[in-house]
Amino acid sequence: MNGSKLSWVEKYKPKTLDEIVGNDAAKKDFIDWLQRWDRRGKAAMLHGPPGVGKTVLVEVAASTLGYRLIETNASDTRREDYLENVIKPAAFNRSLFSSRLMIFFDEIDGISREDSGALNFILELIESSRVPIVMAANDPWSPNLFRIRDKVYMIPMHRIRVQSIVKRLRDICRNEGVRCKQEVLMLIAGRSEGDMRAAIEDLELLYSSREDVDLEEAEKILSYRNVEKNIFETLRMVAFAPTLEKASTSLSSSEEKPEDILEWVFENVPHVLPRQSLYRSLRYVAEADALFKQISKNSLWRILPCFYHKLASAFLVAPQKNRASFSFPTRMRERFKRFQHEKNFRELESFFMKDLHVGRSTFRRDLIPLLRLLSKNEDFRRSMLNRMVDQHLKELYSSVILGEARKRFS
Amino acid sequence: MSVADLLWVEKYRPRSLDEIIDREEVVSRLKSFIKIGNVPNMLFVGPPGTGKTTAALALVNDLYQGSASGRFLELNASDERGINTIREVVKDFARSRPSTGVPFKILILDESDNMTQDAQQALRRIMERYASVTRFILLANYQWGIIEPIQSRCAVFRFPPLSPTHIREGLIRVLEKEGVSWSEEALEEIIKASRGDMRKAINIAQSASGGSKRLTKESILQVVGVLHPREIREMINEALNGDFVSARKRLAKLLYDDGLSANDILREMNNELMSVEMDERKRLQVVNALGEANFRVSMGADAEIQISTVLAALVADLK
Repeated sequence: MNGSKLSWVEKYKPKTLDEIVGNDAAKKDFIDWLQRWDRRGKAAMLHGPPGVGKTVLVEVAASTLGYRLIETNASDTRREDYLENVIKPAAFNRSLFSSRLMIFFDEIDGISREDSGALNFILELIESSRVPIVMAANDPWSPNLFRIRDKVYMIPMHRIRVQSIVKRLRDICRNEGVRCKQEVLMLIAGRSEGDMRAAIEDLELLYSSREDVDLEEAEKILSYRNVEKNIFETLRMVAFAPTLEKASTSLSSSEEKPEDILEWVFENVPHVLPRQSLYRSLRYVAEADALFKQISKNSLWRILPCFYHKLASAFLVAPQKNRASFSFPTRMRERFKRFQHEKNFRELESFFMKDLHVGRSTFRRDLIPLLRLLSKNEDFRRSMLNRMVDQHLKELYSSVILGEARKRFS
Repeated sequence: MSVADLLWVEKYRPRSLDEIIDREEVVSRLKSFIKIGNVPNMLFVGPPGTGKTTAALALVNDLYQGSASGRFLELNASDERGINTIREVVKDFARSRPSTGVPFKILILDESDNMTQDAQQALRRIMERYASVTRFILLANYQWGIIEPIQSRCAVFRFPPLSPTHIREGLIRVLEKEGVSWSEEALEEIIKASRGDMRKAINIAQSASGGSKRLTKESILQVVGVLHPREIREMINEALNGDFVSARKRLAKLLYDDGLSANDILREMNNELMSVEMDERKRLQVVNALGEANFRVSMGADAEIQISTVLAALVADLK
């Protein structure tokens, strides 16, 4: 969660062309195209399913051939000022001496057909740019792209073979010092459907917190991830949606329960938005939360779309940080633990509240810190425990007041 | 055996209205109710440690002249089963009408401003329906946390923070009985840290005296930070430094590990926000966010999500 620890996907991102696994033909094709490129303004489009290395190929090729990359994603293309002030000057960079530039439109199929401004801008750019234009798309046959498709050099990229993925995963395991069973690696690679990024994400999920996993356990954990994967995909679509309507539709067509989607958005907004936009964004989340409580209490399900609008807006207030990575909501992970902890609190406080005439808030705010302090004194602790007849109560006291629970829950 | 004698706050809680320090006006009005043998529904409003529970219990004790058991009940309103429990209790009360003496029973509802609006609406109907056999004493930190129709059915009593003189008086009374000696500057420290909260003052004194039976300035300063957690200020500072994720983690710790109520966190944040150094326009935005959060939480929205917006307002720079 804090930026200090890289995810494995980031950590093992290829740095040279050789490190990019699979798609040898596409690699060669793209490098050739770039080397052939002359200032006559033609663009290339890498297309293929997610996680096969489109973005990585562009990044590595650029650095290998000495280009400076100007990256944009679908959420940037919403912003006319960005196109005018950043992309346009780069495209018409006339200086012969400054570093060579390459413009990269990632996830270009995310541009909405209605956003004719951005589409026209890109079409015009393809005709007249003085620097190479590269695009990446999952679905090049998307109707949004038909005008662009005719004008660009298409380079297909394919799913990565299972064997290649297994080999890569094994290298990572060796480097991380984890023991991995061949059948688990096969399971991960098979499930990934040729998506290297997904495979490495799964590998990290299995091994980052433990050293050994058997097949059965892996199957269990990864089947859980199926659901997770859907919501990841949904969030990605929302975060990069070009219009509110699209974002909102992505949310409402998700299979997740509305209250779970709220959790996902609440968790991830701070991870993917710049600090400056947090307040505006979280206000939408807070409104969505309040609204949802009203909806479920009063059965106002017909206004559920408003709830999705608000959640979508939470992402759309600002362009995302590049390459956003989403995390599983802490609140959902901790739900059970917190429930248990709260139950312990309540049992304990019902014992104290009677004798001490305090309410719940007072108990938590004033009494718990007091009891913790006083209990450092041996005599006090003993007298207190002597007054508790019930063994269970004594245990609660030890765990909640004497601090064992704090270690567990911090 | 009860744990009450282990904690000074409870051990030395005034049992009768006559023993109560300060609050002359409240006490004299309550005494006049006792004289006529009838009490209205009441709302005691004030910050923690200002004598609300003590006054309610003392009133009950004086009213029933020591034989109060079975004639009053204390309930905590922040329990979500609260309103159903209250309904059951009141029904039971109604069935077992006391044959002699005072013709009604008393229900003390602690932390009633923690009840949701809906629960309060239900409470209002219960109050009306069983008015002949039950009197309610509602205890609350904020008057505005109680819905208008309930307020208008109650005699409102205010419990402002105690003056330094009265905190001193109360402290000395306890310390003398416990045979603890003190230095003048130790007493000053306690009074300062208590901010008019008698419970806090006595708690500090008890935890600082330890086994030694002597209060020094040093021993006080050691415990003050623990009893008056600095975590809320730290959370605010983290947010001000732009580290929203850490601030939110700390908020989660306060809410879930320490189990603090949203109201307590918001109140403490409000206090801190007034003294933290920041641009006045920003303070306006932050306090505004705080108000909104407070309102939505009282309407049943999620505490962590709502309070997070206040943290985000702290993170934002104003242009």
